[in-house]
Amino acid sequence: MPTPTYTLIASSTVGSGGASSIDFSSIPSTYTDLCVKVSARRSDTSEGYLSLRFNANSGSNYSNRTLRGTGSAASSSADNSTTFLDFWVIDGTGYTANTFASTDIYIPNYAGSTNKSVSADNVAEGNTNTMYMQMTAGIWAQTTAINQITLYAAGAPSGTFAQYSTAYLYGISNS
Amino acid sequence: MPAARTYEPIATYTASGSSTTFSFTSISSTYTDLRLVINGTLTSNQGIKMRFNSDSTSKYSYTRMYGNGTSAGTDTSANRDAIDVGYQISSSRQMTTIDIINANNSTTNKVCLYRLTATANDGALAGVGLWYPTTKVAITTIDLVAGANYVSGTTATLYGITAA
Repeated sequence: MPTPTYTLIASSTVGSGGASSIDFSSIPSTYTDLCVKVSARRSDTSEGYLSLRFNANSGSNYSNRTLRGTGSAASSSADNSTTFLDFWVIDGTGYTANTFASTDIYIPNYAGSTNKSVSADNVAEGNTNTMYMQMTAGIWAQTTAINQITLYAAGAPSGTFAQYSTAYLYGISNS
Repeated sequence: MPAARTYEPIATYTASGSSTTFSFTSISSTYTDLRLVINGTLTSNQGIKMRFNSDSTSKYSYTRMYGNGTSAGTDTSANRDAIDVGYQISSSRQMTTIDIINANNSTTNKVCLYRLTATANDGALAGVGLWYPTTKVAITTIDLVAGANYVSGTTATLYGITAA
């Protein structure tokens, strides 16, 4: 039987109490790339970032460039040497009900010995005037293999993932 | 009989540091769509051009949007001899993904969607490219030609996606 190319490693669904983070640990090093697909909403009124750390690394090792559209304007921003990799935005309770933001995160060569590139698409649409789509080019400036990914409903203030938020971690094999 | 895989690796190459080109040849006609993933960088700041079936005539065009960390921009170019899939910065690893939709038919021009992920220069870039040869053919060869050598360890992987 051929080796599957695209394999579900782990999944997480947030329960009724909400969750401040979603954690994937003990990620095997046997794949080539990783892909994380997130559907998330905050239990807090305001919107906020979907934030990520690798290997629980809280050092200033994350940087990004973004391209963002709101339906009325396009913009770009940069963050250098930060303690999270941030993706904008996750809906809060003040947004359209029963609507979750979607984020697709791709991490090539996650088990290699070089710095780690990250590509992410984040979209939040609610049939209202101000919504967002953002492309993020990120980097984790560490050469260790990734064996843990932790997602946070961060922002100002840091928040909570709402019930029914989900995250799926996939491994992709190139042979 | 085990089901055929929907998403299948076709070939992967790792640069030795002395080549400016990744070439994928004899691509099977059994795939509906193709996906390329490139991770690494070049030995100097240069771009990567993509060509199909060794066609270097002026039969390519593209439109791109990008955010460089300061401002958002867009550009377009027609009648090119290749699709420019993004400028690589030698000091930082980048990731480029290219999706070629409906690659295996002899009736349509070929459209691709591509993404460059870099934390310098073009930053977050998305583009659409078009190959419009006079005679419509399936894609059997893809060349990724860089303006400088790929850094040793840079990888390029081609995946095939089947619709049935």
